Amino acid sequence: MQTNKRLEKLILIVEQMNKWVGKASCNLIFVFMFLMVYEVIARYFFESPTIWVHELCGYVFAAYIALTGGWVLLEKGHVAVDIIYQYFPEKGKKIADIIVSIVALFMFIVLFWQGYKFAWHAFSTNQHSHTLFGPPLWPVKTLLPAGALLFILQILADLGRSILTFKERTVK
Amino acid sequence: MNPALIVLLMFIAVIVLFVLRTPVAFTLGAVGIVSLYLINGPRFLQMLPPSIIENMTSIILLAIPLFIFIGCILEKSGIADEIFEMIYKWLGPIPGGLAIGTVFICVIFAAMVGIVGAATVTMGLIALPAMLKRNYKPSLAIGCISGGGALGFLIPPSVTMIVYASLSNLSIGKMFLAGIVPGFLLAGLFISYILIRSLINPELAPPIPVEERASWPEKWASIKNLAMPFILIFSIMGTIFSGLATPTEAAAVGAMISMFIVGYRVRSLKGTLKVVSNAAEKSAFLTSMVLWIIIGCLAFSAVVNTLGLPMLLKDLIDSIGLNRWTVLIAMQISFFLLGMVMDDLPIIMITVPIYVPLITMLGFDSLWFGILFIVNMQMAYLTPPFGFVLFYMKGVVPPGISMGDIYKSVWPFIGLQTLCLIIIMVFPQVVLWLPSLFGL
Repeated sequence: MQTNKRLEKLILIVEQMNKWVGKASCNLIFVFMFLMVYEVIARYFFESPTIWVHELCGYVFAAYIALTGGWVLLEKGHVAVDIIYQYFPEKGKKIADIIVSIVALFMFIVLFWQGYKFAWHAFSTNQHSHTLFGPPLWPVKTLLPAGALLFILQILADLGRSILTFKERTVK
Repeated sequence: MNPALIVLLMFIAVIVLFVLRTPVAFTLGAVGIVSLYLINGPRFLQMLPPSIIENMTSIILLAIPLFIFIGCILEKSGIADEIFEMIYKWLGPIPGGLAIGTVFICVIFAAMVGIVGAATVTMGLIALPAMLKRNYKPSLAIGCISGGGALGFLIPPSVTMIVYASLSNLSIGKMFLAGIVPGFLLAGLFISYILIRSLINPELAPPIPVEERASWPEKWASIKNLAMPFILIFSIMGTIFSGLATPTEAAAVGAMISMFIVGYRVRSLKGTLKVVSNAAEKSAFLTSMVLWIIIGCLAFSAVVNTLGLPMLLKDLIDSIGLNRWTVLIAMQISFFLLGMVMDDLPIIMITVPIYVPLITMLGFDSLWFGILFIVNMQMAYLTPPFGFVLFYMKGVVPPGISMGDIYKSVWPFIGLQTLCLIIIMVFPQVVLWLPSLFGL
């Protein structure tokens, strides 16, 4: 029972974190909205287009996507085709959920590992973007492994939950 | 291994994972990664991070959250109530007038909003009770909201179009322009159908009683309710089509204006902030879902590309001696069948990497094919047994109306959409005329 409690606590921490990171990242929309409007105004009213708005907006967008993925998973927002699943018996649903978690885990471990290598290369060789603005590239490239990590944690939390309910049911 | 066999195995894996309710993003991602590893070798996994980052930083896709944001804000702004009031005063006296007006409002909404849910939801809450109260037959009332709501796919801005255009390397502005004429054509078909049926049988949709009709001064006064939607439509579409700004910049300007509109209408800081922060949350939620599907699909489409599947299919078609029109119609039927069980995005992701290159090889226009696809997705939105709109309608209709009644009510509108699809197929000018006018 002791391990169950500890597992439950870990699951809660992951869920809280993903919720917080996700909901905070929602507000990034205002950042790129204002930047884009600024660009339009600068170009048409002051005839001085910027060299950095579009590129920076792209980087903010990457953070917006990467950091919200785990939260969307927590809220069961990644669309799936559930027309056959709904007819599965209870036990079949649980088994399907576990298989799904393993498939997802596999995908995001690969993305984390490849993304990590990619970001580390950019960091260690101090890559900069080939534009006039020319910011360093490692921050944006780090977002992929970071997003994948949030997914991995959330998938493990979901997996933990399915195992816990599975156990409880067999105990009863 | 035989490429055709590999592809067959990939599709079987996708179907099995779908049945287990694996999210579309994870299904395509996992199957794609395994096939990429097995077919091209481990080194090819390195291709993934650069292309993922490229999509995550795409300025084109950045328009998606902004258009969703506009939709969420307008849904809560009460604009729809005002336009409906105007429609009620002007069209109420005609048989079928409220249903015709509903289609009008759906067109206006579709022109402001990039997602289809917004018009359906608001009309379901405002127009449906009003029509039922006026003794409209539920089948007509439900049908016109379902059909009208789906116009959001075709009338720009449209998130589905943005995704299609970005995957098949078309210009968003061009695709938006291409959707306008077919969108109005379809709305015209809906309106004529409603008008003809209610003129033949006024029982179906009776005009409102004389004593409840608005006077002319009231009618003219209500026109001002159109002001805000039109400001928004012109500020978004005007800037895109005149080339003043990119679609993304126009979306950002539109999002900003929609915040002012809601602030002006709610007139309380707390209320406005609540609407805005809800909209921000919903936009991030939906955009993240869409983008992770696109990311998951990258590995999948990389494999399809390296196998040269479209080329193989082309050879197959040539060797059997199939007519290219037969292939096109078969594709439309496959869209329709997929549409019965899936949403628009998964269908785009699975079919575009294979269909679009094939269509181009067969000598068809990929822009035109894109619009055919969009019209088909409108049908998918309505088609029983799993069309999204059906479940939504079930939630808002009065208890006496069964799912079977709802199914029956959408068929005439699916028929009109099919007619529109056939018109576009036979006369490609319907799609291509407007973009050619702008020299695109």
